[in-house]
This record gives sequence, C-alpha cells and structure tokens, in this order.
Amino acid sequence: MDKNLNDRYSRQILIPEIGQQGQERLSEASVLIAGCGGLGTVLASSMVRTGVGHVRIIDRDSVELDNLPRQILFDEEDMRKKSPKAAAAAHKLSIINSETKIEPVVAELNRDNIEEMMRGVDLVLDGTDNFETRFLINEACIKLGVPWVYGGVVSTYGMSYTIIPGKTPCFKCFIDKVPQPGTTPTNATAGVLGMAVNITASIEATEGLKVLIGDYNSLNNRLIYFDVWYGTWKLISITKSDKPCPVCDEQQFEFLSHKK
Amino acid sequence: MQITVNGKVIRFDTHPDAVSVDFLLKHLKIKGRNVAVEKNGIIIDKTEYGKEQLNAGDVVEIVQFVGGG
Repeated sequence: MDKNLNDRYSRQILIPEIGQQGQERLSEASVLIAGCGGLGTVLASSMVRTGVGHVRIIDRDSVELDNLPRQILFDEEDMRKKSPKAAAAAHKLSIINSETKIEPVVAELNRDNIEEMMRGVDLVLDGTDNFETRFLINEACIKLGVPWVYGGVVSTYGMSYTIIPGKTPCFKCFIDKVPQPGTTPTNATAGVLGMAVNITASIEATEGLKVLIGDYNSLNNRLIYFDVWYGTWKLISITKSDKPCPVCDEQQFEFLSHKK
Repeated sequence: MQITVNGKVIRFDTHPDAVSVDFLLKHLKIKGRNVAVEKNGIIIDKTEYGKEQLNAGDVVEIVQFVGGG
C-alpha cells in the first residue's frame, strides 16, 4: 500500500482488528448496496470512506424533500434537480474518496437483474425499505453463496442480522413470509428518525467490514434490536427450526424464480 | 394473573394460571408470525407458541421484525 493510502487510513489501520492487512483486503473488496435511501446512504458512505475498493449502488428513486432529514448524501440541489439517488450518492462519494470505484445503477433491484448486480460482489448490504426485496436478496445470496447483512429501521428503533450462507440461519429461517401490507409499520406510516437510521446502518456496515476482512469470529451472530429513544438494546439468538428451511436447506427460490 | 410485556404490565383476570403465547399475540392483535418472543430472557421457538405457557410474573419481550429503510 502506498504512503498516500497509509496516510488516509492511518486511524483505521491502528485498530488491531483491521490493521494493514485488513485495510488491504478492504481495498480489494466489492460490495453491493441495495437501496440508497436512509440506510443506503449511510452504508455507501461507510463503505467508500473506509476504503472498500468497489461499491455498486442500486436505487430506482430520485431525491425528494422529505429525504433530506436522514439521507446523508443528498442536499437541496439534488432535490431541486430531482437527481436519481444512486447517481447523486456516487457523485458526492467520488469527491470524498476518488480511490474507490463507485458504480451507480438507477434501476429497481428485481429478480431479473439481481444476479447480474451481484456479479463479482463479496457482500450485499441491505438498504431496502420492504420485505419483498429482502426475501429476493436472501434467495440470491443463498444461491450464489454471498454473505449479506439485513437491516431495518422504523420510527426510533431498528434491527440488524448477518446472514452467512452455509453458516448461519437465513432470513427465511426467522421470517416465514412477507408480512401483509398494513400489518407492520413503515417509514411512511410510523415515521423514522435519522439517528435510528444511522445506528442501524452503522451496525450493518461494521458487520460488513468484518465479513470483508474475514473476521467471521467477531460477527454478532445474533439479531441486534435497539430503540434509541428508550435506550433499549437487545441481542436475540436466532435458531434454526427443526423443519428444513425452503430457502437455505431446500434451495427453493420463490422470489428469484419467475413463477410466484 | 399478570405478566410484563415489553415493560408494561398486562392483567388477565379471566385466566388465573397461565396464557399461551398464541393467546397473548392474539390479545395484542399481533398478526402473523413475524415476531420474536422472549420469555424471561429465553427465545421461544415459533412452533411452540400454542403450547408455551406464560405464568404470573413472567417477563415477556416481543420484537416485531422491522421493514423500513
């Protein structure tokens, strides 16, 4: 690693869990950020700033006024120009760290493009806002053997869980099916606080770093749940049921296949 | 009898001994199984919700999976 990179990342390299070797691994790593809203902007910023070599960002939406309180990479000009989020985020991050190859994709992540989006990727970070896309990501990651980190946030609370194919229970193991619309709160119905977003995405991003560096022993291995308003923090063990999981045990990919 | 759910005390006057986890979820109008339920610090297996009894004084935490982003 040249002197310039050593200077930039000196404060991370000092952390023994990362060190010179970890930093070099990050520079060779490739990450897909699925969704570039509240969680996704913090995830993308974290990956680019910490020195991940290649970051692909996919989002179909454009910047709107009510995004600005929490979506940290956007400003009022992005909103006025109705800039696509993936492109606006990539532009901002490219002037923060020109060493990272940033690849914006303005599109919906769906069953037709997800395997192409995951080509060459070492990790998927969840910045989505719905359960359907998470089930899709889960199936693609199990199929291709790529780790992913789930994160969700609403109001003042959030949660995160890391899925390593073949090693941990998968998303389907602990959520049977997509909740019916209206049965779970969303940011549009219950609101969302930027600070809760930042915490959730920071937990995801840190788990992601451990995966990229190869420090699997330090992964949380449990579902983290917090409520930043009430000061609640919980770690919940996720165990596989006795019944085989249709996704990670039986490789049935309902969301990836065209028949639903 | 009464139990504590997510920090709040809930009384079940019609059930002096115990209620099942299923009963509690219905009582709270929590639909579906997209929750994790912890009794006195231990996670209850989803397949046991009909059988698992909650007794007076039990401390229950229910965590709903979060979909926003």
